[in-house]
Amino acid sequence: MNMKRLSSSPPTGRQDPPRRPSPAARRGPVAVPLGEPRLDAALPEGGLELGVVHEIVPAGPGDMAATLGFGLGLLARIAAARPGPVLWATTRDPGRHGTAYPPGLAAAGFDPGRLIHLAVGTAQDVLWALEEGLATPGFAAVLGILARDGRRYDFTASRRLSLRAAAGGGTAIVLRAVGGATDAAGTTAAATRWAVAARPSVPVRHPGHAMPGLGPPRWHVELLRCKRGRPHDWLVEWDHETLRFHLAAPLADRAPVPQTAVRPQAATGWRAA
Amino acid sequence: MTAVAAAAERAGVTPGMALADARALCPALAVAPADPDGDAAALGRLALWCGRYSPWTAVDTPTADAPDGIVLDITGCAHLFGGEAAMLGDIAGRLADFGLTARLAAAPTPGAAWAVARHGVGTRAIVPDDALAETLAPLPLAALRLGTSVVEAMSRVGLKRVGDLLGKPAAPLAARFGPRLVTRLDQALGRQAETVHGLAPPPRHEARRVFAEPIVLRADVERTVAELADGLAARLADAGVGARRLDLRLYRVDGRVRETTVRTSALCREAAHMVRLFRERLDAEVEELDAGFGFDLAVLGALAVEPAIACQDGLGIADADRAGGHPDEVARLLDRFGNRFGFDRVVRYVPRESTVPERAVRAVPVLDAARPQDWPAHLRALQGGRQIGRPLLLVLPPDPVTTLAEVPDGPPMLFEWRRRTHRVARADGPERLAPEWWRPWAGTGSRTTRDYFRVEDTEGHRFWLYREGLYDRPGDSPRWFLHGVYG
Repeated sequence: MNMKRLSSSPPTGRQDPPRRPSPAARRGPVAVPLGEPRLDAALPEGGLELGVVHEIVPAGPGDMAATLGFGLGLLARIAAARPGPVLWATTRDPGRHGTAYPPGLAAAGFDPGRLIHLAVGTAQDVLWALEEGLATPGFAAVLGILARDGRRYDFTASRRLSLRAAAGGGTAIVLRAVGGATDAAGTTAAATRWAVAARPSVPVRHPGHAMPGLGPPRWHVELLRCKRGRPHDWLVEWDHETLRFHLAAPLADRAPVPQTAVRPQAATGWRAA
Repeated sequence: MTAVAAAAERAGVTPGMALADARALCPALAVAPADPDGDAAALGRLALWCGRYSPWTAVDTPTADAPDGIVLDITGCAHLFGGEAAMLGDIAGRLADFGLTARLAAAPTPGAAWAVARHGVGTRAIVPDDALAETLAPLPLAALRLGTSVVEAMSRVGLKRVGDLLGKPAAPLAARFGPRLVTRLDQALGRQAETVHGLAPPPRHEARRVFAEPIVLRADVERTVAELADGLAARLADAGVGARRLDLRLYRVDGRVRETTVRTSALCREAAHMVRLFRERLDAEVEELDAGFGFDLAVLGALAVEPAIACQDGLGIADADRAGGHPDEVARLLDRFGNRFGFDRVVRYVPRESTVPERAVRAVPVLDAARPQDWPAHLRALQGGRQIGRPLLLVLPPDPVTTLAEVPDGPPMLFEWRRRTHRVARADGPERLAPEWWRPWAGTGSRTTRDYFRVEDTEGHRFWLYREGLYDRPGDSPRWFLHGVYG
């Protein structure tokens, strides 16, 4: 082994960038359906593509948790289809967003037992860990949360991740906290970029209570960029029991959802309508 | 005066003398304040350096005094340096290069070596096996590592030399001067075994490389590590074992030793994996690899060795299709993460039987084997019957919020968190949580019960709020906190 050559490159560039992938290098399914036909129809592979990088950004400053919720939904779909643990890489200081809480992940339908949490010092270390995770067969997916120093994640970084993902068949989900809608215009090599905003959920009336209860979480999800696909936006709900996304209401051409108790079963009825 | 240099000793200055007397005897005396801790640390470093001669080295503390020597177990080591005389010569030469004056002795027992090194004639001595008693006989009794009181007591009855005790019955001696005297005598003469507690247990398997010309460059160090790893891996494979801890020691020419340890979760027997762990470890070190004037010896030792079960490597076929992923490769990557960022930074989560949110989950190092956990059951146990779930993100410590419109026993209508006002549109709860009776709440230290609510504001953001305290108690004003954020 040529130690000298390997060691002389900068920290993130310790190893050679992987070869351009050949289609034969891919194994297993190409994409994981999201469980909602109209969402899947907008995606080129008929679902969330594997072996690529997906980016999720919050649409507004308070939407980090909603972004994580949507990302966790994607992760739960991938984890259900692929074996192996999930690498969850974050910076040590979560900033003002709080730290991931495993019982909460379980409540959202993701099995925390599959999680390997790595807390490192800088965004650069997170990116390094994601690269190594993608280069290692055996992970179902890797998720990186760049809560503070998201500017480290630029075109070069995303390109490196994409090449690794394509070579190894792994899937990366990158959550960026900084920026929001304005910064989301930056060009990266990711296959998709989603912007997520929280929306009021369907109220659940409890007899004897003045204030209604919370329905399933509802997000406005905008597909900002998608290779071979078209930008689109939806209002989706996440069902943590069936691990499926549901379309809450077609935004463009339908009236808003009436303020009645709509449970997930009812939501599937909407889809058939 | 605590210690005096050779030149001062020639001028008549002796340890124990007052500084004024010493100055009077020798006006040119250079004085430095005594630094026992510094001396001990320097001796510790020197003992580590002595690891190049024997894996079993220790700072010598036979009496209650400050340590003043180093003991090496050179059993089976001397021939590697061309015999005991050549070995002592090598040690003396290198120590002289460091500017140290040393008295050296090699003897069949640690006690005899101690005695001859401190009380013998000359600065270098080798005691042959058959001349042990004759060598010790003329030495003063203090050479037996005895306390000053015992030595004084014996000198009062005319016992001054070790030879005075040889051949005397042991029982009366022990009765009069304590059993320690007999023990020390027997240890020095080899009639009783003595254990030396080394700095660290020596590695069972090691690979070493001596350089005629010291190496300085980082690339050379890495090449050496690769070479040593190859050798060590072959040795481990021969013995049918694997290591969980690997220790790399680089001996600098000026006597400092750089020690780097890496740990692995699975038994490590592959050279490539060892090399990668060490390379990343060296990368992660904050300070530059300080080679000084170069390293002249590198030793790679395997610690925590366990028998390994040989496993078929799959012959390169069906590798990709193996069910259950690639546990080895994941474990190897986790080793690298752990050695680079610290093993407390790579964790798995397991449920813990506690309703306190912070204690309901436990982070365990990934080194521990993973066991399947029933999270849904844990969540059901946590929530009881109420379905307000748990937040995705936990805010620690809970953030105090200002509530603007409160309803008794219900969630606030308005609250302000981080200078943003949220109007509550939906709410679930309350879920009442009490601290465990044997400990107050983490962070705040209070013992009051909390009523948790899951609320959603008009924009759809969801929060986990709790109220501490109750409204109905007079003089008790409840406070509101935000403990988490839902997705």
